[in-house]
Amino acid sequence: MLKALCHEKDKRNIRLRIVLLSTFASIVILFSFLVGRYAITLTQLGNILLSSLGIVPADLPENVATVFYKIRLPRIISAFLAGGGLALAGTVYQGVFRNPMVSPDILGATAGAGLGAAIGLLFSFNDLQIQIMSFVFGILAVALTYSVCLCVSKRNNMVLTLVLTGMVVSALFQAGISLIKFTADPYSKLPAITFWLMGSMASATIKDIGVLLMPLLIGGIPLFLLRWRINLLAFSDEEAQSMGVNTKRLRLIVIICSTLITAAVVSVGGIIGWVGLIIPHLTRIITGPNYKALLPASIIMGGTYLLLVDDLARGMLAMEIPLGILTALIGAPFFIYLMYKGRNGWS
Amino acid sequence: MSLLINDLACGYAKRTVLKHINLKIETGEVLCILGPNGVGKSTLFKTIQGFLAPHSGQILLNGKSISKWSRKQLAKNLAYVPQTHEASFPYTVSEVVLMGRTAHLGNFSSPRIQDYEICEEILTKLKISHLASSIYTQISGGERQLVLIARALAQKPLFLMMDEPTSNLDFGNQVKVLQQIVNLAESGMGIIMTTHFPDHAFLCSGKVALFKPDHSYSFGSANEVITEASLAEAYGIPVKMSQVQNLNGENLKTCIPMLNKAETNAPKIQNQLKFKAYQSSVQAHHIVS
Repeated sequence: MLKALCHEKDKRNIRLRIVLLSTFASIVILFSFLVGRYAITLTQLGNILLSSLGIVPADLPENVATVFYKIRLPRIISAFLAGGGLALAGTVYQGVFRNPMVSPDILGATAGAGLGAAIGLLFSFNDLQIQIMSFVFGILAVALTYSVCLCVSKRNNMVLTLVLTGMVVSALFQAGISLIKFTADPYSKLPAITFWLMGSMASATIKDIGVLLMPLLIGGIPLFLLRWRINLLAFSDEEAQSMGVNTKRLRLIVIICSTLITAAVVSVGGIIGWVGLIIPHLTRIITGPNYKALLPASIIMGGTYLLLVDDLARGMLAMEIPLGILTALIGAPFFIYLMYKGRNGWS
Repeated sequence: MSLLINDLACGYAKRTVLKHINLKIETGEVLCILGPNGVGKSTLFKTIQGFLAPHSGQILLNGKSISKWSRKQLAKNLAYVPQTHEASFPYTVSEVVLMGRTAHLGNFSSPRIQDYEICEEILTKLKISHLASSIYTQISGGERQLVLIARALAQKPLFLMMDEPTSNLDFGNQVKVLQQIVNLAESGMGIIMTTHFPDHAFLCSGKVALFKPDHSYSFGSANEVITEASLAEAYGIPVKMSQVQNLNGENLKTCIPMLNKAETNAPKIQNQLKFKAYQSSVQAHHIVS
């Protein structure tokens, strides 16, 4: 009886926290519709929501509907998906690499995607082509890291070798980005590349949601299903294996899924740092380290956080501030605060 | 049910460490693997668990070779208790123990209510149910060792492999862990453990495989294998054996290492001589001034 209660209590606890987080996320989403240069009033927002449910007839100026559906809605969904994706990738990576300092770019996905986009911009590809270039290069970089690691590592110490190889490959692709910038036309191409690399959701359209959503689902669903097993990777490989986990296969699956997600996010939003590093910590403080709750919670937290930052980016000043700058400005001090406050998130 | 090691040779890619190993352990028995550092105890351990491929020979569980078994199948029969360590993230004790149930779950599932029940039962059996909601990284070394044993038991294995289960523990906790090992063996579990204390083999009244620096070994009951001569040969130190009566009035052997008196006294005498020489030189100095 006692045992049954324990199990039920665990479940209810997790559910309650996720419901609370989701409620907060919904409020932030609604609030985000009101932020921006073109004012949408609360009444108008209410009218849009109710009329879309068929409760009241639509009664809106055409401009408001255009801003709502063509600009705000795609941007809000994209920002939420991007943040959730980065947080998800960071959360599983920290477990897989048994290191709380790891973020989704550790294996070179971000640098690779950056180079892909830079090349695309240099050759004046269209938006979709640039996104594809970026996505493919992100995956190529991680594939390179993984294969080099397989050649170099001696069976047992794969985790450390992967991280080191990832750093090397990242540096290589960063050099590639610098080279592209160096050769780019300083009056048109160079600013475009620089701005792209700083990260932004400003140009998000309905199409981008598709580009984001597919890899997010393909990568996210396996991670979600495997989330209990990812817990076991927090222990040494031999321990996890002795408990019945094929660690090499599980790690490969996690890396493939996270890379799909990270590359997709970078290809749509540019390089947005820090989300994948601090959100896992923050979520771990709320839910504990068990991926059963941590994984869904980190998606919601990451989405909410990036949406708030994006609101700042477009609402704070008359001009847009690149997202990457804001996430770093907020993330870095916040991370120090987390470290100062006590290392609750890890041992 | 038995675990049979049949003419096994094991080691690393380019180096065979142990050859011609033949061991047999039944469920309900304790096998202590003794020997000096670097003799290949860990290598043997890793090979039995399939972390290293055997160079030749076989490991048979109930007559079936386990070398082709999946991790999952192996985990249901053979559980591993590592030396106490730190985990990277602050899981609760019950979460850590629940992880032991993973081999019994589908690839995509999480622990169910039955798994919670099994874990609760094990925690009660090991008398650590009060720790269930404590943070694994914040409990003491002795408690952590018991939690790791609980996690291994949650796998419901036939055999338990323990890597120096008493290292890093204080005197009392060492004995508590040994008591649990004996209890488990009595309840029908087969236990294979490495240890640095020959006395532990006597306490568990188990079988012993004693490895010597030349990688040869002797295998048998503790009373047969552990002798003054064999310990001296294995560890290169003089050892004396003695006997005491245990709480049931049975004879219990124990071994005591001997320090060489002449060697230990030598530096002391030299120091005394030096001190005397110093004193007389100081006196001489005083007289001169």
